[in-house]
Amino acid sequence: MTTDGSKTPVRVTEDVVVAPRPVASNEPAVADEAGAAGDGRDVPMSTHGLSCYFGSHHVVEEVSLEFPANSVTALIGPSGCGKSTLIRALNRMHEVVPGASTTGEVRLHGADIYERGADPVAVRQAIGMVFQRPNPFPTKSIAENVLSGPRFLRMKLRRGERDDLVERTLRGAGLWNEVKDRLGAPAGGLSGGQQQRLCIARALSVEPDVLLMDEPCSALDPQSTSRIEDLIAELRSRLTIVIVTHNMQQAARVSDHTAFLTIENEGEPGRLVEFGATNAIFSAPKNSRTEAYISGRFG
Amino acid sequence: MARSDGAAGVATPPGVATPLRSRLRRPFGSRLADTVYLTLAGASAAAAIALVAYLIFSTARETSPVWETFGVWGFLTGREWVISPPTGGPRLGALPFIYGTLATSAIAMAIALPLSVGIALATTVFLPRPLRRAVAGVIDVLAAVPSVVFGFWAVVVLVPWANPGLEWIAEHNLRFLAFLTAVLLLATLLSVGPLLRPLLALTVAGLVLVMFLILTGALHAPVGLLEGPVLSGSYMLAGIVLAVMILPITTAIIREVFATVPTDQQEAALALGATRWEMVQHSMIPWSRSGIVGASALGLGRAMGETIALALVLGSVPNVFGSLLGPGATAAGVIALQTGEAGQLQLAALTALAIVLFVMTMIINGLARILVRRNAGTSRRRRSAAPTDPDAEAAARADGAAETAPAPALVREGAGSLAPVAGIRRLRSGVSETLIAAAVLIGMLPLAVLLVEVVRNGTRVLGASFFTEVQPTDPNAVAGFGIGNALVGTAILTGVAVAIAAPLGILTSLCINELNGMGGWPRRVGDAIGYFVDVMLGMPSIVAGLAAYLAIVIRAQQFSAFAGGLALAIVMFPIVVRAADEVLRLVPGQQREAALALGAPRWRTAWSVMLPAALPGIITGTMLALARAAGETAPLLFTSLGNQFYSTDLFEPIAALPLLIFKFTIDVRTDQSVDFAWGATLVLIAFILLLNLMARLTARLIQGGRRG
Repeated sequence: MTTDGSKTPVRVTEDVVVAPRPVASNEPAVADEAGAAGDGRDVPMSTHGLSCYFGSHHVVEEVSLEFPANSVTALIGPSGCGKSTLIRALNRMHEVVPGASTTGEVRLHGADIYERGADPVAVRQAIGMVFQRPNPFPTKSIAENVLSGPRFLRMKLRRGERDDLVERTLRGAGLWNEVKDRLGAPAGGLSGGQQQRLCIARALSVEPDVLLMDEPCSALDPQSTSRIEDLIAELRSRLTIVIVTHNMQQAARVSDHTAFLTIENEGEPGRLVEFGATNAIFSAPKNSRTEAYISGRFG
Repeated sequence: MARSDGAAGVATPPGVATPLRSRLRRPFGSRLADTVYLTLAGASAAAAIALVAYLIFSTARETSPVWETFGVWGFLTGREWVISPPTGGPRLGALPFIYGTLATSAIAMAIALPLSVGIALATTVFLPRPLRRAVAGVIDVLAAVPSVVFGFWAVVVLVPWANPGLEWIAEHNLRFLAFLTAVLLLATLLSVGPLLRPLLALTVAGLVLVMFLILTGALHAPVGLLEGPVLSGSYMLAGIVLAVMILPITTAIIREVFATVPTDQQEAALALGATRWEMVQHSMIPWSRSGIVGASALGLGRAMGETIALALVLGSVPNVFGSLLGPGATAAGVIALQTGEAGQLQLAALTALAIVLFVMTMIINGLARILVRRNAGTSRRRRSAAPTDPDAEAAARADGAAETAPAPALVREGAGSLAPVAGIRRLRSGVSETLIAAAVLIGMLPLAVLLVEVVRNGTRVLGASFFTEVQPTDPNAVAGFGIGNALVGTAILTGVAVAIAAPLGILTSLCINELNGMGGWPRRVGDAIGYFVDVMLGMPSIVAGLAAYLAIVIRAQQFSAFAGGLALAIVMFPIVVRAADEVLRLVPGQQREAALALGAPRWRTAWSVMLPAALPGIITGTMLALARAAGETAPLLFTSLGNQFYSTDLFEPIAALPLLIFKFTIDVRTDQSVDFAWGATLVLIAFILLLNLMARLTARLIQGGRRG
C-alpha cells in the first residue's frame, strides 16, 4: 500500500491516450455531488488502495471507494476491467479462487475485513452476495433455501419464528405471493427470475449490512430484470447495495452513485477512473474515458 | 448414398445423370477399405462377446450335476461343505461362502467408506492445493499393489501382529465395549451432522443390527460375533485387508462425484457465511448423494470379487455365521484354493459358486452404475434447469406490487463483528476437519507400512543370481536360487495377454464409437456392447480363470501358458476398451466432422484423426491394464499353473511371479523362504509401480510434446 499523500480523490484529465493512474490514493474516492454530503455521512463500507491479483496477474489496482449507507453504488466498465473481481474482493469471495490474493483494505464499519483475525466466514455473514447465475440449492425446498443462512448461523428459531422469517424475507424479496403455496417445493423448479429473487431472499435472511450483486440480471429476461430492479429500489431504504452491471441503462436506473473502472491497455490492471453521483456521471462525466464509454464509443 | 442407381436413374435424363453419377461414386478401393475397417471393428467386438459368451456357457454347463444333486435352493442354502463324509455322498452348500463373502465385504465397506469420503473431501476441499494431487496420487498407487502382495504381507506381518489384540478382545467378553463403541460411533455421526441423511438412517439400522447380533450371539450360531478362539486369519483381519484394497477405488469415484458439484453451488454457501464444513454439508453432499452410494456399491462389487488376499488370510474353512474373529472362507477364496484338486461333483459345486458370485457382483455393479449415472444425469439436468416463464412472471408482477418490505426485525448475534466463528459451529468444523485429516493419515498408512517392509526385507536376498536362477523347491534351502523362470513366465504371459487384448480392445472401442456416431439402432447396439464391457469389467478375475480352466485346460488335458495368457486377456480387455472409449469420446465431434466433410473415408478419419488424438489415453490405458495383468494371480492358478523350471513353450505350464509369491505363502514357511518371497514381492511391486509411472509419464510426454 502506498501513501502518496494525494488528497484529490479523482484526478480529472482530458488526456485520453496516456491517462495517468487516476486514483492511487488511500483516501477513498468520495461521491462529492449534491445529495451526498461529504462529511459526517454514514459510510458502512469503504475500500482503501484495494488491489486484486490472480497469481502474479494484477487485475485491479489501488481502488479506493466509499459506499454510502442506504444507497446503491453501481460499478461499471468494459469487459475485463476487473469489476467482478473487485466486488468479489469486497466480501472475501475473491480468495476462493485458486491463486487469488489482494492487498489494501476493505473497511466495514471501520474494521478491515482483511486484517488478521478477521474470519472470512464472519465477513460473508455481514456482507451478502448475489451471483450472476441464480444458484439456489436445487434439492432444498424454497423455505429451506431461505433458512439456510440462519441455519449456518445456528440461530435458535422456533417454528413460528421460522415461518415468520421465511414470509418476511420472501416478502422483502418480492417473491412471497408467487411461492407462498409451495414453500415446500424444491427451488430447482422455479423460473430463472424467481430463482434469482430467491437467492436475494436467501442473502437477506441473515440481515447483512451490505448486499453485493454481481450482474444479477445478466442471465434473466427483460421482465425478470425489471422485477429485480424494482426490488433493488425497495431494498435501498434498508441496505447498502453494490451492483456490478454491464447495462448502462440499468446503472442509470437503479444506482445513486456510479464508479467507472477501465483498463488502459491490454495486460494492465483495471483502475478506477471516475466516481460520483450517477446523474452527474451520466450527464456530465468529468473524464473523457468515462464519456467515451457512456456514449458507447468504446467498451 | 451410392444405392440410388436404380429407380432414380431412370427418371433423370441419361446425358446429365451419367457423368454426375460417376463423379458421385467412390473408387472401389476406398469403399473396400471402409468395409474392411468397419468389418474388422465389428468383428473384434463380436469376437470378444462370442468368446466370453462361450466361456460363460461352457462354465454354466459344468454345473448341472450340482443342481441335479442338491437343487438350486438346496445348494444356495446348504450350510455344510463336506467333501467326503464317512457315510453318504458329499454335502455341498454355498451358504458358508456367501456368508464369508458378505461378512468380509461388510467389514471392508464399514472401514473403507468413511475413509474414502474423508480423503475425497480432503483432496477436493480441505487440503492445500499442492497437497491434494499428491495425496490423491498416493492413494492411486495403492490401487496398483497386487492382491497377492497384500495377502503375503497380511499372512507374514499383519496376522502375527494383530492376533494377540484380537485374542484379548475374544477373551474378555467385550460385548459391553462393543456396545459402547457403537454408541460412540453413533454420537460422532450425529455430531458431524446430517451427512448423507438417508445413509444415516441405514447406518443406524446397521449399527442396531450389529449390536443385536453381538448381544445375542449371532443368530442361531453357537458363538458370538466377537468370540474366540483366534487362530490364524479371521474375518476381521480379512475385512481390514480388503478395506485397504478397495479404498483407492471408492476414493477415486467419490472424488469424481465431488468434482461434478458446480462452483456456483459451493459459492452460494460460502457467500452466506458458511464454514468450509458447512459448505460441504449443504451444497456438496446433497448434490452427490446418489453418486456416493453408487461408488460404495462399486467398491462392494470389487470387494466381493477379491480373491487371492482373502484366500491367503482367511483360508477355506466353511464357517457359516461364525465369529468374526474366527477363520472362514469367501466364495472367491474357496474357488482359488480348492479347484486345483477338486473331484467331479466338487468342481461342479465350485463352478456353481463362481456363477453365484458372478451374478451377485453383476447385480451390485449394475445398481452402482445406475446410481452413479443418475447422479451425473441430475447434475446435468439441474445445471440446465432455469426455466423462464414470462407469463407467470408478468402475472406475479401484478401481485408483487402489493407486497411491502417490512422493517427488519432479526438481529444477527454479534453483528458487525468480524471475529472467527465460535461455539458449536467452530467445534463442528474443528471436529470434522480433524476427522478428515485423520482419514487422510490412516489412508496413507498402509502404503507407507507396506513399502517400508517390502524394501527393508526384500533387499536382503537381492543379487545378480536372484534374477537369473530358477525358483527353489525346498523351503529350507533357497540360497543360490532365484526368480528367473518366473520373470520370463510373467513376460510371456503378459505378452500373450497384450497381443490378444490390446488390438481387440482398441478395435472394439472404435466399433462402439462408430456405432454411437450413427444414432438410431446402431447406437443402441453400441450401448449394448458398452454394457457388456462393463459386465466384464466387474467380473471377478477368479471367474475368468475358472472359465479358462474349464473351457481350455480340461478340454486340452494340458495346463498351458496360452490358457493363462487368455485368462489375463479377459481381465485386460475391458480395461483397454474403457480407457480407449473414454478418450475417443473426448475427441471433439467437430474434428471428426471436419475430416468427414473433406470427404475422408471412415477408416481414414479413424486412422488419422481419432486415433492420434486418443493415442496418449490409449497407451496409458493399455499400460495400466498391463500392470494390472502382471500382478494378477487368480486367473493363472489353474491355467498356467506354474513351473519350477525355465519354459518358453506356449503350450506347457509356465511360471509367473505372482504365482511364485502365492506358492511361497501357502506352502510350509521358513525364515529363508519368507525372505525369498519378500525379494520376489519387491521385484513385482517395483515392476508394477514402474509400469504405472511410465504409463502416466508417457501420456504426459505425448501431450506435452503436442502442446509445446
